[in-house]
Amino acid sequence: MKKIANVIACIFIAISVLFFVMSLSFPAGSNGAVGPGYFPRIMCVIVIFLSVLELIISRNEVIPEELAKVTLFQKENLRVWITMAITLIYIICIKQIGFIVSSIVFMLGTNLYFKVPEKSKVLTVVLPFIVVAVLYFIFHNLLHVNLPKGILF
Amino acid sequence: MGAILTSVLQPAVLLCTLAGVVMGISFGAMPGLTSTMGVCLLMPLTFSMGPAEGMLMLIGIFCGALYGGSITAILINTPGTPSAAATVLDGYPFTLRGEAGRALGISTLASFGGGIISGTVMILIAQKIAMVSLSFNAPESFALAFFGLSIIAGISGKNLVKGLMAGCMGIMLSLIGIDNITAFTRYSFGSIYLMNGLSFIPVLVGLFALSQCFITCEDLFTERPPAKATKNPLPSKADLKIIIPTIIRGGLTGTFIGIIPGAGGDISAFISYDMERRFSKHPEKFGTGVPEGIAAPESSNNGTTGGALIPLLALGIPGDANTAVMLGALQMHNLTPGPQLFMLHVDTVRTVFAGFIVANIFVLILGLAAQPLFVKIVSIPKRVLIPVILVLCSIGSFAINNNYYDVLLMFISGIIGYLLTKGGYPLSPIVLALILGQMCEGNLRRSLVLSQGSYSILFTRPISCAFIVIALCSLAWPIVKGIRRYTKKTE
Repeated sequence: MKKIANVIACIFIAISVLFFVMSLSFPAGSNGAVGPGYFPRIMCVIVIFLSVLELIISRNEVIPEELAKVTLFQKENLRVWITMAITLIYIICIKQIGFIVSSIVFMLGTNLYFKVPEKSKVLTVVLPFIVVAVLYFIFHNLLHVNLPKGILF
Repeated sequence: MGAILTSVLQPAVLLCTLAGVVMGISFGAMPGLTSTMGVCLLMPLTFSMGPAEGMLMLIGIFCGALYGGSITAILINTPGTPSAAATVLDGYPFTLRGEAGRALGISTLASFGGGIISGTVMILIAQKIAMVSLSFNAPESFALAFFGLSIIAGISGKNLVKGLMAGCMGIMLSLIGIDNITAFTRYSFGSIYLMNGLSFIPVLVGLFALSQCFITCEDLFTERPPAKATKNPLPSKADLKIIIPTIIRGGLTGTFIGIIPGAGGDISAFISYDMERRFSKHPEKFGTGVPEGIAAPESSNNGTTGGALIPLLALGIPGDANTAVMLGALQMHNLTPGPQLFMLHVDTVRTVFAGFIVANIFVLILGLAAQPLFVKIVSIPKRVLIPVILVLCSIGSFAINNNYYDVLLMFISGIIGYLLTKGGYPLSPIVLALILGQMCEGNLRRSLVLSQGSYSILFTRPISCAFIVIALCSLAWPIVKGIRRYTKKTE
């Protein structure tokens, strides 16, 4: 966990430096008023200070065993990254092939990947159709949301 | 009174409240699914409803989830929500003795009692507090927002520095888009989508719902022990005699703690449990399954609901992630919390107040009558739920503005939320800061315009000065505690 926390602190510093540099080009204030860059600059300085403080503190920090085991790129995290990738493909597909088809395919795929449910193969296939039909009815018919339509429907 | 009853007894209002409570209990009962996740996911559904119906659905989820957590706490020794952690201590021993039904009955009645007490206090004082804020100008509004931001220190727990970092980053993100005062565009990187700032709801859905799905994916195949439905009788006369005073004390404690921004149901449940144990004639029996051990935390955690709504409705200050989402819902309906809400939308406020009481009545009825249904819902495997929630996150984010980029923003927020959680960074500060950041900056700059650049204006006005002093104290106290803890550790 310490490594992940430290990498995040470094990313925070990088973002703050970028925002600070960008704020230097913002117009200055007038008649006592401060400009649009004033507040972001204060925030950037605070974030940089806190991030450096976190990096220093974490060097001597004793992390409990269960937290020390927290990982990102181990075997147990693989399912998360694959789920993320499938979700990203699904989100891209929503725009291309529409909500109905992409959602049914996405749910069928994830159900198979998650081995859902072990007992009934019929339910694995039927469940996505039922869920998508219910969601479509609620959002399209009741809430009048124009759900993305792709090349199919 | 008649008008309030007519408005709250409309079928649509009742149905929305009931649906909220049912979903809240289901979300609260399932370990791994949080009340905030429920409120986030259901929020897009509320946009096409009237403001009162929408708010009552979210309040129903809030109240229901805090009660629902106790079902799994009692039946399978796993709290459904952090607020039910204290209930495990005396709830599960009841199940081991074969008295799970009795424990659930006590928990249901205590949750109902706590909710009703907090609702009554909310109805009595919310409007009065809102009227005080009528005299607020830019300095007071800045001080109020600053006070709201100081809550971050309180909700960061042991990770104070990380919480403050997350909060400040949230403020920076809130500044993206067109500046309200000079109309200058900040940090949009040339994107038209970012010119109006980050869309709040997709960020929220990503941070709380999607990231939680990813975290749940890690132990997808670790199933919980099965929960068995039990008869859920009303508590006996003997139990009632013991628990009624406990419920009153717990409800009042919960309400008071709920009013304090940053302190939520989990803190109040433990404080109430501890108070009850200290003042009990038989403290040694706590932990072995005594009725007070369930009634105290349950009445207290449900007591926080009404308490948390007081600063939200009266001042527009959300005390936790749930109320932060509700503030977003109010803003989506063009309602501004504070005196305006009580003067211009008095009917909505009254319906929400009465609906809050009705939501707690639903908690009582559903808790006593439909417990087997919730036990069945709890038994649904996580791997069945995750794909459904993933689809719901996407469609919900899209539905807010009919904007595809909102779905992408939700996805990016979900990954960021997952990584931050893995790094031990709390997520609630980001949400609070996203809401209060612009209010804080805008009012500070307006104050400086009023005073021609002098910061003394913030300290010469009594209300503003008082809020700033309280905020500094609430920021300083956890920092002092953190420094003490750190020095002790290094010694």
